[in-house]
Amino acid sequence: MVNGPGPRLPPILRPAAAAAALLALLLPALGLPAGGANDPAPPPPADPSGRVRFDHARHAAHQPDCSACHRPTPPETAPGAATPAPDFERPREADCTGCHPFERPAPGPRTATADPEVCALCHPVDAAGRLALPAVAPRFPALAFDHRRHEDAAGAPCTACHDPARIAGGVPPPMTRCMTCHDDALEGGCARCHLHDARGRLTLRRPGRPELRPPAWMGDLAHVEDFARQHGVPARTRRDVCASCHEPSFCEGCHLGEAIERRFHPAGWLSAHGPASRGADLDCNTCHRGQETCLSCHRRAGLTLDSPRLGRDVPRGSSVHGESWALRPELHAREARRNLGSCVSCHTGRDCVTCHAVVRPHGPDWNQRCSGLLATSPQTCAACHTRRPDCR
Amino acid sequence: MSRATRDLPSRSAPIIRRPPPSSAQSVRRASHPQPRRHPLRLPGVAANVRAVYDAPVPAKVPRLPPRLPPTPSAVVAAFAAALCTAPPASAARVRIESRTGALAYPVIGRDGAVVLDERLVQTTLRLGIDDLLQVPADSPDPAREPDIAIHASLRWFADPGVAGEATDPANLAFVPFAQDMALEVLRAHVAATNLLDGWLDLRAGRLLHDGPLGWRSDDGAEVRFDPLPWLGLTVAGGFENLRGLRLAGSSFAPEGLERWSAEGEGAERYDGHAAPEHRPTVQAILDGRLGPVGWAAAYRRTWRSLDGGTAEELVGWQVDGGWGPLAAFTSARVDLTAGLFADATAELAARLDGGRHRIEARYDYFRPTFDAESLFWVFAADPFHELTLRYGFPLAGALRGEAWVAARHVRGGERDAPTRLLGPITDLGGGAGLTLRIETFSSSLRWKLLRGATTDLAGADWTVRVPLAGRWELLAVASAWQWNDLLRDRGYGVGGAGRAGAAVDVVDGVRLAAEAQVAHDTREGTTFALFAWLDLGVAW
Repeated sequence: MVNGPGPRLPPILRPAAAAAALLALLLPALGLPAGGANDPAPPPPADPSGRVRFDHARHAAHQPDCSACHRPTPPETAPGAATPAPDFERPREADCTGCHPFERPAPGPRTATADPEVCALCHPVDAAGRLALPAVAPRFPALAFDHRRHEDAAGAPCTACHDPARIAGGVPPPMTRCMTCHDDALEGGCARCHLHDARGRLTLRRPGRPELRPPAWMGDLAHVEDFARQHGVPARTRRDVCASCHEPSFCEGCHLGEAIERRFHPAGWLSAHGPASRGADLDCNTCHRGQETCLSCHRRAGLTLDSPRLGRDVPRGSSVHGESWALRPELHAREARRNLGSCVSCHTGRDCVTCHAVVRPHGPDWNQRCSGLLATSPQTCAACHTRRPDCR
Repeated sequence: MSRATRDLPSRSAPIIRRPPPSSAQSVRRASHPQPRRHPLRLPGVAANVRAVYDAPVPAKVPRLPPRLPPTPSAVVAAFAAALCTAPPASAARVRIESRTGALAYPVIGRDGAVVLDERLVQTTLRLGIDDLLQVPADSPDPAREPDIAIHASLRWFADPGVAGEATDPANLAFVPFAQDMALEVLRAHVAATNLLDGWLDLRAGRLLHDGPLGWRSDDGAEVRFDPLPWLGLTVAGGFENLRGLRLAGSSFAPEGLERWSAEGEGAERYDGHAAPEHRPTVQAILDGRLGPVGWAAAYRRTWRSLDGGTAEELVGWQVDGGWGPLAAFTSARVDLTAGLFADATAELAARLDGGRHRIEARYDYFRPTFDAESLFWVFAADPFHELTLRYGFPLAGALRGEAWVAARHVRGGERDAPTRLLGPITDLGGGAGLTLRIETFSSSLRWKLLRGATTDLAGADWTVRVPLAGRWELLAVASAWQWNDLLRDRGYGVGGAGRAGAAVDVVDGVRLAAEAQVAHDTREGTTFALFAWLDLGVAW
């Protein structure tokens, strides 16, 4: 038995409703026609959705408050998203059972429903006596699904997809159930069921609905909490799947620093980013570029030799790196050889020339590889060498 | 249910009779390998779905008017949209999205004092106009119909916190051009796709290229010829985009030189710039896919405009593939200017038990490369080798765990003897994490340890997100760290921070987020920070 709360009438209408109910009980006793199963009137027409038969006039006579059944629903549009057929602007079955209590066991095959006539009270039937079920069920992340088409093609009972124990809660079958037949979904077939735009990319967000994300069973495609750090492999090897939802420009938002991304670094990152960047230069380079991201901020903060704040907020002559840093090659040269990329986050080439114009910076095998640089960019060599270097 | 449902017959009459879709089903292909024909866009397969969902928006659904922040970028984008969509507006699809971020936080100097109160404002605005050409109603394959699209991304950056001093030439903090840190065009191009029966794509404008050579940006044109499934050719030419923010270099040019014009009073205080140039460049990419294997090879050459010399010459290639639970990726890049391998990567990943267990092994070879004129070439001596192993595994339900270890090695030893440098350098790192994501809650807990020759770092952070009522998202982050940096004068710190925030979808297409943070570090003391973001999006 499905028991739901009855419609709440405004106080002013309750006496009228009571009188109408009493009249409905008395009319059959007086031999006069009344509403109900014995009503000889023709069945009400199907509503515009084609899903249920419903006579608004008859119901309005009993319940003039439309909001008793119809719940206000916000517009179902999102930027770039297709608009599904409205589904919940109309009352749900639970709204009907408040006044029309009936038993509906867990649905099995359509023709094996416990009492098809009960269902047919509201749902229209076709020539074969089968109920018309919704063509679209977009409650959980926007889906486009054709019940009739699946039934026609496969002759499948409802329980082939639906778990009888869960359907009462409006829970759709899991996607893994779909893939028992549609096993190409992961190869780009997402838009077969999911809402998509005109170019075939899926609609990820719709108002009032959970954001569409790959579920956990999809393995490396699952957008788990730490996916921002783990998406490298699928992004490289399964670009076609990524393109089902994301445009190529989506990547630029982070990888080119197009916009400030607030979700990647932990709290207080500014205080700890220095040591971390020394040990994870490749990771930093994924989104940041040393002489754009690092240098621009370090200049404003007075950490670079050409910073406008050097000499005012930051005393000239002081060293970020401590005493003797520049004079001891086992310190600064070692770090430069280890990871020169971190040096350019503060320094420009001219900083190096200040000393290295007179202190030889070249390694032991420099003469074997300097000819290429000399050929393509002799002005680099001319920064220190007054005569053309002897490169072989 | 049988597999016959995969080949469902096309219905002669759609469920809901509506006008045929007016939008092209084209797919913009980037320069990197992309699926040629999206299986779902094959005619007949999704026709029924399209008939329902590609229909015009019902009249009763209100269309949101464009709501743009009052910034120059918004004005420019709106003007461009009005111009570009005029003639075939009935077929075009327009999207305008923006993100405006406002950040207020202090920057602490190495003496513990506040050296800068950052007040940053950044607006990024994206414009996309697609389907300027209408697909014929009787098209057998809408995905291959020609299309014209316009895409642009603009960024506006301001730093009001420094502007007052920076714009005063009499002040020591004067920064040339700080007063006009205005509009930056990240990309803006017109694309004509699927010409010649889908074989030819054209793009022109400020383009971004992604491929074996990494991200690059040019002002020019690109032609893509797509004759065979296993072979595509993309040729691009133009002028390298070198301009970036006034205080820094371009996001796309090689490191080592900044090429912006230093003019005006106070400009002489900057000495890191070089003469601005318009450097011609050409780039070619061959790519394709043979079964499960995708491949790409690229060549790029850039000339200096001042003397015609080579500014940069690169070749690169990459191969990826997937075989059942295994996925592999490898790439390499050679800088012909200096005659050396710039970087190389090999990655092998295994997904076992339906992806529940993930095992990744990655090797990186990296050697910094620079602009040909940069003096950093002289100091870029040794590459480093890095090996990372990562394992992700299920724990219980939606709770997952992850562990990783990494080692970085720089060769040294005998080669360094003449310069008295120390021998080989090896840094070690590792970490572990827990992630949980269910429908109503997501969380991650991570711990990380780096043990290096000159730097040690240990840190942990815990993030919790809770969506509420379909519109709200609450966020809380807690972090703690301890580091020891032998390369800095005050090189030790212990600290922690907490951040809390919320985001709300105000109305459809408008999202507002705000966060507050408090942090304490033994070196920096206690600091507070505020962050806010406003995302706007409209489409019609």
